[in-house]
Amino acid sequence: MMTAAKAHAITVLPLGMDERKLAVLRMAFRMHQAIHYRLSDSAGETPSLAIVDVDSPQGWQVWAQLRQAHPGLPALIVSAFPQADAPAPVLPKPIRVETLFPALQQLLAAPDAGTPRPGGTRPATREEPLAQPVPQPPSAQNPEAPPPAQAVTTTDAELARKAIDNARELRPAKEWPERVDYFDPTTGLYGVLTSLYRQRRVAAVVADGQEVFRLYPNDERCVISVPADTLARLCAVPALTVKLRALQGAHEQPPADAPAAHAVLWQLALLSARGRMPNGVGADNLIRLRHWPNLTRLAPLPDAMRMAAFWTRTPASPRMALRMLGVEIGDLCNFIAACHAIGLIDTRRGATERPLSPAPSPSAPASTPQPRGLLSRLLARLRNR
Amino acid sequence: MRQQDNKIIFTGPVGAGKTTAIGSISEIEPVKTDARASDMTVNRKAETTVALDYGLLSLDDGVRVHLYGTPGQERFDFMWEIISEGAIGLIVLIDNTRPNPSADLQFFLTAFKELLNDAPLVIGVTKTDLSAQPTAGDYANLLEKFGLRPPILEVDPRDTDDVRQLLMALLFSIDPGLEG
Repeated sequence: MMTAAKAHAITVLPLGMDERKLAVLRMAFRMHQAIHYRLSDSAGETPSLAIVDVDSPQGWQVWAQLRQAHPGLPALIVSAFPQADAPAPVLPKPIRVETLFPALQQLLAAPDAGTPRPGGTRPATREEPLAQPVPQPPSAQNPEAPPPAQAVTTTDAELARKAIDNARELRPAKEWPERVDYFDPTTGLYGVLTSLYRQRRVAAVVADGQEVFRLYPNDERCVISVPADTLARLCAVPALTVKLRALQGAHEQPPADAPAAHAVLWQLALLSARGRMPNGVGADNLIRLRHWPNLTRLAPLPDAMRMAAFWTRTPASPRMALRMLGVEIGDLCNFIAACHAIGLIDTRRGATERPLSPAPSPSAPASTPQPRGLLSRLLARLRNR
Repeated sequence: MRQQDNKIIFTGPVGAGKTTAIGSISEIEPVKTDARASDMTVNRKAETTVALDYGLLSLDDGVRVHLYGTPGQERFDFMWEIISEGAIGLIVLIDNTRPNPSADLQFFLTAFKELLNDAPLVIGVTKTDLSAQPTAGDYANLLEKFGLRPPILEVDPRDTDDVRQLLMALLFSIDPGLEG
């Protein structure tokens, strides 16, 4: 059954794209809220727009194929190379969200811009690219002459369709819960150690009558002086009194085997947050990661890799991340707290996302199990190793 | 994606651990084309890759993902473009003990500029136990100036789990919502 959300979506037919490019496009569409775009996923449905990548091995055959099947369909051409006399607007690669959606809106507003002129498949006048294209390397094929009509096959459409079918392994969208617990990131061991680290102060941290940490921020090292269970217990004590003690001499060196400061701060954050969000980070605050955390050397956290990939790519709110990634809310809060501890969070305070429209319902399940896409199967292969 | 394009490229300077990394994750004994080093490379290792390293990962339906390691020396750079065409992504391994690893990174990003137009990049920093600087954060700050925010992970190429995480980071860079 077609849902209301699906009925109002702008259906986009992608051509000339492999699974990797479709994945990028699909993710971009899922993030765009003003207009709900979706990739065409059924051979029988009528698309509203087409995006044609002419850099695929089939080259301009893909364009001819589109025009055979959909003579009047508004279309956008994407290419890494200048396309002289292109028959439709050209969006230079790499495709960016900032240029893709204005280009699609332009097509929707003036669909004639992306349709062929009468009397031929290519116009007599050159279309201006939507942005400055990159220089064409000497090895690139020159697509001056369109392929003869008899060379057109449906191979590419079939490939694209199959790739879309294969790229459906999505987690169900999750909505922001009514209640999210918070913790104060300025107090306790978490507050003291993160503050010391940012001030680049060498010191010992004392709590409950015992030394807990020795921090050497200039060496990026931090010694944990208590057993793991004691540290976990201290992190759970509300209103823990924490004191600082100067180390013997400002030039004291950390032991050679002292853990990395980021690894200790990350671990401390997980023990302190325990599924709670740091105060000051709202569901609709825009967040971006300055860069990926060094996840191979940090305590494991479920779905940290997908959250790192998401938030380094684009600013987004926790609510949006939950919806897009379908991760557990506790893991999401822990990830934000841990990234905050090591200074990776670029919180755009005051900047909030517009309230989200209801999440689109997942597509109706196929009657038969779909084969999983290459990337998904490779991920499963790596996880099961 | 054409089946012959199911490939992932490992590149980086001589001695960064490309051959070892492929050997850690490949399900077949990696095909190596090492030869006794006869140039400046001899200062870093006795034997070095002169053509390609090759490894393989088979998926559940018999589809294969090919792992290619490029020779690290610049005089083989004519091969890099041929190898990288149509690749799923690029993994650059950087040896932190070399004299200027940041310059090495910039060199390889420039060499694979065409591939990186639309394929993801992951950086693995090796030998950080011998030389802690530059840190992953230092590399990140450098790359941010070029508008790049790729995964930068410290790895031991001998450690299967580290190499596995490099590949997973590559996949999530393509699609953070990927399930598998």
